[in-house]
Amino acid sequence: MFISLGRAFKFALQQFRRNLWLSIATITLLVLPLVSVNILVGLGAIERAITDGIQDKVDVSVYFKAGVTDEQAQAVRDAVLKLPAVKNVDFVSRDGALARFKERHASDPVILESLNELSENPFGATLAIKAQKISDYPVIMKVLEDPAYGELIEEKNFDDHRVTISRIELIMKNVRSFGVGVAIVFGVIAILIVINSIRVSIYTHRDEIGIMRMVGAGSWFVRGPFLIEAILFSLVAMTITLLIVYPSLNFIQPYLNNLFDGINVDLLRYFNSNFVVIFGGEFLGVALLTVLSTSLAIRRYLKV
Amino acid sequence: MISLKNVTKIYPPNTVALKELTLSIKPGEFVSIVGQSGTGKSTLVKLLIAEERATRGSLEIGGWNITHLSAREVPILRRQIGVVFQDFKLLPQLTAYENVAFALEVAGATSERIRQIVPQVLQIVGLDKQVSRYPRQLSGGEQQRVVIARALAHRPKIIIADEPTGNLDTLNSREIVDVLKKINSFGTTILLVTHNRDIVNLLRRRVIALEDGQVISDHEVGKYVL
Repeated sequence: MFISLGRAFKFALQQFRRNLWLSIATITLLVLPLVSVNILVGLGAIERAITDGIQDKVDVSVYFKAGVTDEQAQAVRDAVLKLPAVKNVDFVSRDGALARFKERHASDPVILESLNELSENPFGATLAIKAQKISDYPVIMKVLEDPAYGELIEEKNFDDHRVTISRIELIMKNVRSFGVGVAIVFGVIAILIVINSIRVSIYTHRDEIGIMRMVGAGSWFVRGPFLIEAILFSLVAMTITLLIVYPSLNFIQPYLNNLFDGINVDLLRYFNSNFVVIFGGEFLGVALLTVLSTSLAIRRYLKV
Repeated sequence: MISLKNVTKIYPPNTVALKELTLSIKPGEFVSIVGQSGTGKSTLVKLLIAEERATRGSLEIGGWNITHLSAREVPILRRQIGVVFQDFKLLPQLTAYENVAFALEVAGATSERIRQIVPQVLQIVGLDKQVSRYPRQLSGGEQQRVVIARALAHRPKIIIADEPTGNLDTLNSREIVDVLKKINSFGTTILLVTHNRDIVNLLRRRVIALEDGQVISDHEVGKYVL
């Protein structure tokens, strides 16, 4: 068993070497979809990092009318907190809002003086509501539009963030669709190339195959080297992909830090912490693809 | 050892290669199958090595009915029959030793067994001094002897030689026949398919003549009589 496996591996290596240029071309065409998939994985990670980053910064600010008491505002806060879509709510009382305003304009005596002219606190209480997910904000906004709350609320804002997020989502969706399309096209080309490489390999080894059959080699011994050759293609393609992906990540990481100032987009760490899932999955995928293509070629061209 | 009963082989649509062929070869015999081109000699060889299936009739080798052999059983049969063809079928990038070893490697023999058997069979065919030579460095006769050594590697009970002297001059042809006679003297059954009159007459062994896929003569000490 192990002897036969070892010899099948030896013959696979011979085939690989004898059609070296064809092997190189095949591997190159396997690297293209692999790199495309890694670009998609990277884009997915960037998208998640950006949306998470923005999500952290996003909240719905609810400004109550000046006449609304802190108790009324707290009642609204308690009701909002009960919503499953809400992560937390920061409450700022009327006095708290006044204190913040004074603190922010401490260096502007004119404003502070005009504030003192007023007989009562002009500020209403405010709520800063954070949702569980970015997509939960519209739900919260809809609840706040209830007339029972509407007459207490002076203003609420969220719209600007929503536009930004939907823009990011749209851009990422388009980029992803394009990337998936490119990966599929590369994948189909790779399948055709693998089938053709194995066909040529079968043709160039027709003498050996004939002799193998004549001297009583089992059918799996004849087919085995071609399947091992396919796995070798996948292994080398995966190694080259790693050699492309990691230097590229090292190169673009500083630019990402500058590009998304304030949002932590650490692609290198993402790929490192998901190494087995990403590259193991990709290897399994490409090995499956090449083995299936090889099986098709063997079935079509190798008579055992 | 080899037994064919009413074997018919028809290639589609209606080319009859063998017609109700019945013959029996005993263990240790040296039998020449002669006949003109298209008389069914090669078809007979193909049936015996299970490259083709008989349309009707039954074939037995050593008591094993190979008429309806499954694909999985074919390699087992072929390890028990050594086959020698006219066109050598040697791998040019391998030495004489490696060509013989190849037959054992693909059948899963251990390296130790290969090291033990290959020199032995190369010695039987008289090539123990040329083990490291590539086919291009060997004469036609020597190449054919490497092929015979390869056929012997599995220690077969039967050697089927299909026109083994077809590409050789008289001297080399006689050398090959001498090697086959030597192997036969060890008890191996030899089935020599040929239309070389001189060789057959020189052998003075059993001769079966085929014509139109049928046996037209079978003589224990025969001559080429077509």
